[in-house]
Amino acid sequence: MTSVLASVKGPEIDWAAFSPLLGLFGGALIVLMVGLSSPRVIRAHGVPALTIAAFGATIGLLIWEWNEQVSLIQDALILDRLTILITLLVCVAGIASTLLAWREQAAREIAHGEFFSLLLIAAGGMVVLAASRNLVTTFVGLELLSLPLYILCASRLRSERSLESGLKYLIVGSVGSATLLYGFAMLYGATGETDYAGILTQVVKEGLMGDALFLAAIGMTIVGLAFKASLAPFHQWTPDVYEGAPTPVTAFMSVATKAAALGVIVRLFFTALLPGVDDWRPAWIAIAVISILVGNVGALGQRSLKRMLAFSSIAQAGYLLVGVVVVTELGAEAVVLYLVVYLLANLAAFAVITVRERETGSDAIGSLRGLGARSPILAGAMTLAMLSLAGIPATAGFIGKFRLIEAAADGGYTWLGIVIVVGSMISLAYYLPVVAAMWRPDTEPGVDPATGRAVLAGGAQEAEAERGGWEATLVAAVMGAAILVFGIVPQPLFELVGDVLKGFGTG
Amino acid sequence: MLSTYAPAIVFVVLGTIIGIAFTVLNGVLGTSRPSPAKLDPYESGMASEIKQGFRFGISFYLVAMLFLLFDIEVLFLYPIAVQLRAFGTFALVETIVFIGLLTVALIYVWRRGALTWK
Amino acid sequence: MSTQTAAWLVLAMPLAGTLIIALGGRILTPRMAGWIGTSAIAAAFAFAVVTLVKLQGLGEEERHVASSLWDLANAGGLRVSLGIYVDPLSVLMILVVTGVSALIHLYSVGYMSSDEGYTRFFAYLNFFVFSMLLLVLAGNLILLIVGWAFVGAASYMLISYWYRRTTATAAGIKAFVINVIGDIGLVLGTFFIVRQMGVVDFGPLFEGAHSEFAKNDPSLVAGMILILVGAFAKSAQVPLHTWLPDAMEGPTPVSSLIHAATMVTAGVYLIARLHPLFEWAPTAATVGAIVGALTLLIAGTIGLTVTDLKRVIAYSTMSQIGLMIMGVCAAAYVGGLFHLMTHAFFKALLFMAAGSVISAMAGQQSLDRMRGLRKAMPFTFGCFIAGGLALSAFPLMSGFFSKDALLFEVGQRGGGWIVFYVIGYIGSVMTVLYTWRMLYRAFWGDPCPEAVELEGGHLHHAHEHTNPANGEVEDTEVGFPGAEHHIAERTWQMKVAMSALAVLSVLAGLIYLPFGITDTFEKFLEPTFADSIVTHPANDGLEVFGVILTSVLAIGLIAVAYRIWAVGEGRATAWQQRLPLLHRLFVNKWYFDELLDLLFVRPIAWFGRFSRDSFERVVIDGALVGGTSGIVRAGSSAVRALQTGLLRGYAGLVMVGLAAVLLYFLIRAA
Repeated sequence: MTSVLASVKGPEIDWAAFSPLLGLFGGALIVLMVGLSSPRVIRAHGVPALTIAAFGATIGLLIWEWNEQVSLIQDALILDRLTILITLLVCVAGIASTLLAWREQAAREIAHGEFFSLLLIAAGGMVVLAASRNLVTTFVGLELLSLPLYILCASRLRSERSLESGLKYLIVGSVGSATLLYGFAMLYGATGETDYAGILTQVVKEGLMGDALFLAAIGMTIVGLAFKASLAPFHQWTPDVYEGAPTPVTAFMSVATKAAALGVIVRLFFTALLPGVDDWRPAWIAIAVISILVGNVGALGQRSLKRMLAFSSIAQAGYLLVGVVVVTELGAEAVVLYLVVYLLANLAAFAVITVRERETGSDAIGSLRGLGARSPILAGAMTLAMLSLAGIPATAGFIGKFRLIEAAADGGYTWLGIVIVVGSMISLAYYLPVVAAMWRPDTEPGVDPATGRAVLAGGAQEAEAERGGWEATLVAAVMGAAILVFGIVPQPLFELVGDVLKGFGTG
Repeated sequence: MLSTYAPAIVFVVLGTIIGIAFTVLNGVLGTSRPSPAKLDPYESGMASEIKQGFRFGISFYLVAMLFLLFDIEVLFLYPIAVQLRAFGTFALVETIVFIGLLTVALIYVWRRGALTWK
Repeated sequence: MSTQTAAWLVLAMPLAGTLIIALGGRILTPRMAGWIGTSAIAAAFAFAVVTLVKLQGLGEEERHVASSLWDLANAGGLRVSLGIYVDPLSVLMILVVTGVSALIHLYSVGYMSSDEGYTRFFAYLNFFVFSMLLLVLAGNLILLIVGWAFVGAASYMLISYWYRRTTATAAGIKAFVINVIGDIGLVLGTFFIVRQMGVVDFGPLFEGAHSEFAKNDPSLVAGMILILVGAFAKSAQVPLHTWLPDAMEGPTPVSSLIHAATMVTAGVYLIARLHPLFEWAPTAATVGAIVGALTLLIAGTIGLTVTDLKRVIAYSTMSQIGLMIMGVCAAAYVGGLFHLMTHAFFKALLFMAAGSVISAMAGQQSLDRMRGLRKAMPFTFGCFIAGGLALSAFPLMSGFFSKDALLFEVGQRGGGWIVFYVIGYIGSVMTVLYTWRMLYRAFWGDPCPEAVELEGGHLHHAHEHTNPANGEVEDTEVGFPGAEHHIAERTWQMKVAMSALAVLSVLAGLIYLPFGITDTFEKFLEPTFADSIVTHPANDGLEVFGVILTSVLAIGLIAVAYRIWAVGEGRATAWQQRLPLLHRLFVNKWYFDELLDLLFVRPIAWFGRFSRDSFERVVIDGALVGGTSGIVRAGSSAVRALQTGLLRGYAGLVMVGLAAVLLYFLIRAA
């Protein structure tokens, strides 16, 4: 026993490459502690400011490590271009969600320190997930991102919907985690390895490609990951959770979780499970097609914007999978590009929803009526977001879809490209009504369009503006502008995601 | 590969069958003449004083939860303490970080008032 | 600043103008919108001049610059970039487009100032200029098609600008439909060429054409004829011309800019741009020349009989563009483009003057109502005379030299092309006649009541505003023409714009005189057409003959027209009575609308009715639409039915999904 232990040495850690993670987790601790201070100003404004600082610092560290490819902690984690890009996405989503949550009721109810440090920890979990090259780390990352999100979903303590959403997410999410863990256990059972690289060599060496245990493991893993990425038919928690959770949390979840899940799917299936490609590809294709159909069809006729966006996110996840199943570098690039585009559109949309929710107390599509006349910036951003999600040319969404379809055609799966197009066509039927609602004039002046109640004259307007907050408007404006700019000048995006697989197998 | 697990599978299947069989047979073959004494827990003893409406204070759960959390986390320290020399400096640093994190959590819990009995 | 940068800035200016006007609608006053629009185009013109200077600074061999901002697509071996191609031809076009546009914007600032949709007007107008510049600067076929379609859309918006006028919206739709037919031709034609060549950029396209295709290769000829269909639709050539006269429903500055000076010449530009391909497919070029010649004749005859002032000029435009198309198809590039340029000047001027006349007539456009406006509107009259003289190729006017150059170059080719040479002169006869018919009828004779009123210092206003086309009563709120009218005599912006164009109409010929006296224009265009495989043998006799013939025709026929329409009361009617059939044919525009109706509209409508009653009801409604939307709807309710909100249901579905996935993998393993 002693001899075994004696051989255990502390792992080599490249602190520079490790620094982005430390930024997030260290930030979480600091935010938690600062959240204890007694002056209300510090709690309400200092804490979110510090959160943004932590995300910002992480982005700074990322840029510092931009061209590095380092394997960390004995290959448990890797810092490569994919990790960096996913972390970047998570941090941008984090900053945007923090801005949206600045005046959020939920943050006040469960204390600012807790709310924002949970956000940071979830972000850290996402980074671990995307960077992991070991089954154990993968699972740790997954739980690290899931647990804080369960709490965040339920963070509006006095709202039944929020509590319900948190509880549902917890229970169904646990089923997903358990399935994934089961899959990992079987994978370990089949190969005797937890390292992705080790699994790969073992599978090739032992010729496990047709092995029942190995394939069952892949199946379980697929289901578990499909869960986290909210892919149909494992999507059902998504609409309920998205609707009930506080909007900033929904915004963060919809964007960042998806990015992390897609990151780990690409990494796991492009390396460790690559030998089984002929077996797992049809399963992923089926899930992608079902997701595109179920997501788009389910979004039709929804009256709640958040529910509609939840279904839309299922469809978008389906589109993203198309980039995975072709298993080419172009496919991986298309996935990351689409993640960027999706982030812009979703954050813009959720920013507008946050503002409207605070003004009218509802996220119904009807609550957007007359927004075009009252606040052209918000309405413009929302319009761009909807058009981008639908993939209309001159928005970033078009570039993203174009790349995905190109990747599909390039990989010999043109028909999947056609499925994307068909899905997008259906999606117009629920994106365009949102746009139409915004630019339609108010039904009656002086009547709150969402509730039908008369709006109090005078002071009410100012109070609304105060509650809406300029932070959310800023997020909407920036994201909207980015959608337009990248829709017309996509070159920077192409350059950003170029070489996404650079340093992919290092270690 | 599956053959390795054959005994386990046989065991599970047999166990399930036998368990179900006895329950079913009991209902089919046995006679059922219930009396108040038989329906008592363990068919005997004092009548239970606890009624359905009985409630613990929420603080009790909170403190119990916190106790469990810290207690279990501290459990991790034992193996390291036993083999600290073998692990070397790295483990020492790691342990200090771990305790630091626990301390932060404790401070947070304390300052948030979770330890005050209300 | 490099050539490319300047060219990109030319493109950026009107785009910026469009965006500022369209987005700043509420902040900007209409007046500001007008001036922003005008200055954006003026700036574009300035950059166009810079582009010209920079391009001329390059060596003759290097005067074609391609520049690309980024790749739009790079798939299937085909690379499409957002690129422009700057060479003398495109520089000529951007100079003409921005120059004339700037003047017309200036004119519109005054002319449209009482219109309620003033801001919208300038946003559209700027968008048009942007589209047109995109079309002429495009560095590849794909971008050219984009510009082509944008231009069609801008034209549609501007024709239907007074959107509450039923005739205007109908005309807009007609123009749009015919333009789309052209777009389809262009796209299909492009497909033919790209399929073979695998490139869309102009440079490689022209270099590779001779090796990829055999001369007169059937697929090349088919492609080029399809592209010609696009050119015909946009340039209003027979039989796709019927939209242009109707397009006169748009505001007069629009007619001036789009339907005379710039957009309709896009077909000419396209043929000139693709000349290496057309020369390699002589059959297609011949088809183009024949259609151009036909249009020249048919439009000329119709122009002799219509009585609507704007429509006379519209038919004249058609006929002149027919002449240009004939020219460029016959490889008379320099002459054709020279005529394109001078035509832009004098035709824009004629329309502007017509707008002024129509204002004086309180919106009336019929020549029957106009008489003796000469004294009442001296400035407009002067401009009309300048434009008319140029159009009828009066000696030493710009139109004289350009038409002469064009026909001479056609004649130089000899052989069968002599037929086109002769047709060109027949067209000229009609040009002079209809131009001066219009002039004499509007400006000579006893003043009509409106002219008398104006001479007394008061501009005539209708009590009730009516649509000149069908007499419907209109109010002057948004969607109809504004209440006030503006004539050049009283509006300085109009005066400045018209003066500038009048000077150009008279003097622009000086840059390319016959007998090699000046050859600035030819030298300028030479790098573009250096690769032309058509030779123009010198023929001094023909040149002298042409100059004399053109002069004699112009002077003689103006005199004849004077006898018929200015002094000879009733002579025109006498002619009409002597040739009733011919007159009816011309007045009814050769029955083209009816022919199209009989050939296309009715069969299609019949087929449509048939389809609606049988095919559609059964197959489409029942199976496809009903089926598809039914499936989607059913799917939607199924998804929502599953979405119970109950956890056990969710967990159940997860288990089903998991079981399905596992089953699949275990079957794979077995």
